[in-house]
Amino acid sequence: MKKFAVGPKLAAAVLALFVVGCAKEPPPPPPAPAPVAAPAPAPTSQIIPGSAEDLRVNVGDTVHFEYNQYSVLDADKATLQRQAAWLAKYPGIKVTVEGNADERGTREYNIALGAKRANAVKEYLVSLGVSSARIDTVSYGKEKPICSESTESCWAQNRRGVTVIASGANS
Amino acid sequence: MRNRPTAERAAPRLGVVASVALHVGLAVALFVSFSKKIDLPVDSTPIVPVDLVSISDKTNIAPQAIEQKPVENTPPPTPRDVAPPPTPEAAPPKFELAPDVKPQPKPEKPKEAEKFDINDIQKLLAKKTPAKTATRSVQGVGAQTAMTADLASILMSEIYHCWSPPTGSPHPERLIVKYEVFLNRDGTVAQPPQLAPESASAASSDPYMAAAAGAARRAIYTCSPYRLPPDRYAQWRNFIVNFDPRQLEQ
Amino acid sequence: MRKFASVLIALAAMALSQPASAALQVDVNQGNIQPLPIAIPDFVAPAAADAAAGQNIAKVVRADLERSGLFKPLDPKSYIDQISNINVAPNFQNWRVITAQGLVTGQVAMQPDGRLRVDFRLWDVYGESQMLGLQYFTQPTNWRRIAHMVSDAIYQRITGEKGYFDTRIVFIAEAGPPLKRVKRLAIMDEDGANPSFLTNSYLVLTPRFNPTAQMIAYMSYITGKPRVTLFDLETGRSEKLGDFPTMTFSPRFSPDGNLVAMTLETAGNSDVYVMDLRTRKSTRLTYDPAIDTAPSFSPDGKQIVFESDRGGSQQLYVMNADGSNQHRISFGEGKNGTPVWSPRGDLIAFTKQAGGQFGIAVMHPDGSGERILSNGWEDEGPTWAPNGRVLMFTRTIRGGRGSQIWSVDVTGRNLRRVATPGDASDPAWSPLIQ
Repeated sequence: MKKFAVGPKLAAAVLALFVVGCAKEPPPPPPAPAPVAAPAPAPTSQIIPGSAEDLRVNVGDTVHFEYNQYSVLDADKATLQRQAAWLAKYPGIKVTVEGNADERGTREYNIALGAKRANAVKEYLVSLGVSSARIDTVSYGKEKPICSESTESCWAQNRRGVTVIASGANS
Repeated sequence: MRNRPTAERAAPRLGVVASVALHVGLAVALFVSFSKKIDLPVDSTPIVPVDLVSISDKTNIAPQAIEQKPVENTPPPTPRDVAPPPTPEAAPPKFELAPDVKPQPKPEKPKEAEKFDINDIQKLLAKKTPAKTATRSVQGVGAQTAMTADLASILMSEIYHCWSPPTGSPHPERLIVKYEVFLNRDGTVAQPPQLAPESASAASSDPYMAAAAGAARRAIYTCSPYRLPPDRYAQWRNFIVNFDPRQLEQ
Repeated sequence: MRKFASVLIALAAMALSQPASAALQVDVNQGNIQPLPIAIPDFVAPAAADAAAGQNIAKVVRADLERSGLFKPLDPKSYIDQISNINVAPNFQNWRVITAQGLVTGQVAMQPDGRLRVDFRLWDVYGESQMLGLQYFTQPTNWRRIAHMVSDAIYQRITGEKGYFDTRIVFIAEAGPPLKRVKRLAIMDEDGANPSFLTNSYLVLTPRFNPTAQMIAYMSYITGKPRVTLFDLETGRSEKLGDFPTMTFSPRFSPDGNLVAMTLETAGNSDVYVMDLRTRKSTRLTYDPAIDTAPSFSPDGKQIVFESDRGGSQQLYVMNADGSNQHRISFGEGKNGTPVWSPRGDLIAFTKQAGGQFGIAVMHPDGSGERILSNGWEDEGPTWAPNGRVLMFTRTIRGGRGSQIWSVDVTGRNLRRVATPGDASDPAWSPLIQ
């Protein structure tokens, strides 16, 4: 089963964005807000519509959170709106939202925080008309980082909610 | 009962090697390969059938007993060291000789120093002091303690180096231990220090207190011989020492 | 009345303890905290075939006592005397010369019935008396446990507290690169011997022992839906605890072993629940929209300490075991989480996050007397030795360079790394093995 659906390409893209966006300036005292929603690049011809890759690459599967927060950021709402539209287009698909935290919290607290983040994404998708029965949530706390440096930009990447296909994908 | 899956069943020397190998193997396996499952057998807590027997400390007073089976004479639990009955302690007089074996010129040195001391007047005064104290002691304790304040501070500065107080107990403020100490003229311990009754009763019910008493007792012994003015032996031949951990940083 | 009696006793005691001859009073209120120098020669083996066992047992006892930080086992090379018969009083002077204050003499002998007999005596070298003498019979393969029992007995006689050497540690064995960490449930003896895995490669977290050390509760992702799971060490079987539609995590047994306190997440909100293992009925204890998690029972089972961010930041709270009287106890600097009540009852250990550091700290259950015991980049998740004297915790190295288990004395002394086969985290200390 698929637990962890961020492809290396997107991870690299996000990493690149953060390197460009944050690395030049010294780390600011307040935690840097996750500034960028995943871009929606032009559809690539090889990607099967309604597939996991379609969700990941063409729709955008990841949203970010501020330090110790779980509310969906305005900057990420466009991504979730695309997810909702995409889910409307493929009604057979069920998804799981994975909530994650950065390393700067205790293990149990981060599991609870990840659950709040996953739930916040779910609620936003539901508010856009997606049936709650189609959305499951899971929290990995700080156990599934996508960036291992102990830096503010890394932590910003790890504080994330990722929508992955649980069932019904085209392949 | 299931035994543990370890190297210990092998020959003991091999066991060490095997144990190291197992550790290294684990580390390597953990790092290198996840495709292969490392499935050590599931471990269960082994139940060790242990017969526990308290051994008599009778050998303590019968050093020549050879191959005495300690199990066979199992008297009730031996007295705690915190309140040693004087008899068994005093029983092996052989041990009394032990401190003398150790060359101990220290008690003499002060005498020599005395001779060459520039402050003859002070020494004379010091010599006279015990005599005065002796006469005054009949009259009151107050005067006497004033005369021994310097001795108390000498002893304090010697003993605290030797005292490793118990740490980490839940109630350090309760662990004040009082001993009476008996010294020989050469500054060695003359007889086992006597735990004050209030300390002894606390020690009999509170294992922390018992441990505190043990630590105090070790301090008294390890600090021996005490370097004290021999001419004032009458004043320090026995004294009370309070081990008070309240001010210590726990 | 009781007061009056004690005054009388005190007066009588004063009268008795201060004979007129001992006018000199010395108050010692400073000390010199040092580990106790102790000599532990190899245990005597009358039969040559048992010599290795005698050496191995002494070696384990030396290592146990050294690890505690309260003893300094002297180098056997420094011994000027040899023990050949443990039933003869040692020549104390020869042990005083090498500064030993304690001396352990022991003997191993294989019995005709195939059992191993281990005798030992603990001597007060300066007091020239025996402090302890015990004898064990066991299967030869259990020599290591006997060694730990000997260590426990010596530790208890000297410190006044029960030992903790005959215990085990359940923990999470970690391996693999930082972004693809593999975490498995593992168990080992307190000294790192006999490590073995209990699960395969799926995510597991936060294992905890039950009071008999036969059962482990932990958080398992084996189905993809994280749930509190029980692992039976006797049978090797695991079982999901309860049938909850959503995530359960952060389990901990009650002192009697009948209850498991844990966290149940519903629609993103985490609250503390208690499940009775006999009836499998669960009771909700907290009703706050904030994060309530990491419950831990007091040793009398009457109270639960947990963490909550209901006041705006992660802090420690105490409630009765039925959920009543919830009140905050931590008011110091920073955030405080993962509280664990000491088996001794006098302290609560927790993870403190302040000034960019994660450390292990303790405070009294009323929130007073906070002391920081360790400070690191990410020290978290304390677990108590069964005697309430020593803690283990996870130390994560900055920059995704792995996790280790460390231990520290409750006084803050003797901070040291615990030997584990590879990286490790989330230690849980067992009670003394029965």
